[in-house]
Amino acid sequence: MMVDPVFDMVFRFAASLLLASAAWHKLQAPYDFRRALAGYKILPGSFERPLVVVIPVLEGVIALGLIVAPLTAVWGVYAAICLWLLYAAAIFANLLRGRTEIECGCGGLSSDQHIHKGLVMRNLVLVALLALTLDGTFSRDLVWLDGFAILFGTVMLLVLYITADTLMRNHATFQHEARS
Amino acid sequence: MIDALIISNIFAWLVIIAMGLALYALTRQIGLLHERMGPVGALTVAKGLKAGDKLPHLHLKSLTGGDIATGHVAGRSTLFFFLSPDCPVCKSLLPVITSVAARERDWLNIVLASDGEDVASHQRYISEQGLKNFPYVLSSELGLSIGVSKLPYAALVDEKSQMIAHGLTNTREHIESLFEAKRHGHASIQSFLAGEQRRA
Repeated sequence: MMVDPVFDMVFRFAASLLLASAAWHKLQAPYDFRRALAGYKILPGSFERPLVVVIPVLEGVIALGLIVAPLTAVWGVYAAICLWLLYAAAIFANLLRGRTEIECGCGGLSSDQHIHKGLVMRNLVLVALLALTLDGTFSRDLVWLDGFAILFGTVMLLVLYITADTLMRNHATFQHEARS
Repeated sequence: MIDALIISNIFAWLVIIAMGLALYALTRQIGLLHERMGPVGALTVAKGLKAGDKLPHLHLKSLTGGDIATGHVAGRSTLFFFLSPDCPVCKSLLPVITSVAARERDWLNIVLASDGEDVASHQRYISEQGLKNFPYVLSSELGLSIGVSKLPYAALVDEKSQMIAHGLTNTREHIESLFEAKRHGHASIQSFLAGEQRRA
């Protein structure tokens, strides 16, 4: 499905900022991230040390790729989709194993929390929104008003993201308390 | 230009819908929080006056001027708040007392009560904490007859000077619970639950 260039840019910019903030957070607190990574118990321990650096760097590169040039943007979108699907799968696998006590290690705009199924949904929504941009855009001349729409739209999407994230986290906490 | 307007309008509507949904989710979570934090009871120690007992007749002099006579039909309910200048939790509850006094002024008098010989320290406390508008009495007899054991303690008596409920009050919720007791006619959460069981 073709989308308007404004939607294309808003989705890509928001995704880029999301990844950049997550990468920054992971580089700032490598020990926390390593603990979270170990908590997932998916990879052998020897992979953890390099991944603590590789994952945030990868996120940073994808964040750049999403916004730099039209050519890299497509690859950036694919890469971001793969990464988010991978995260969703890792979280889902641990939820199936009943290990809801582990840290998400998400970082960035979504502050630290235990994993819950809302996080899987969140990643799927992110993937769906980014996938909208894959079929290219209508061609039309952008005017100054589009600049505002892109700027405020990006900010608004991020704010909505934080809101939804916090709401789901509270919901998970309530349910956790009700169970215990 | 018209394209840009259409697009920004569509986008704005989508955002408004998303915000509406977020608002709805928020209200639901607030509702859930209310359920979680149901009324808590003030901790009643099983001694002293029972609900319905009359306060003893006492004539007390207020440090802020005037006299307080307990045990008479007053026409208004009274909340006795027992405190002490050297009790930090009492101090943290003073703003609550002030706001309760303002909110319930139609039917409620508030009397601050303490004991001890050192009148000067109480006077200092009154001026430091701005308690000049409340009657402030010193009487260990009042506290002993109600059954005050620990501070901060509060006791609510009705217009006929009969005890409604009293207990240790560490938080605003504890003080509010005394009003809940008046509203529902149960002196404690235990008596409320016992009544529920009888009905069931």
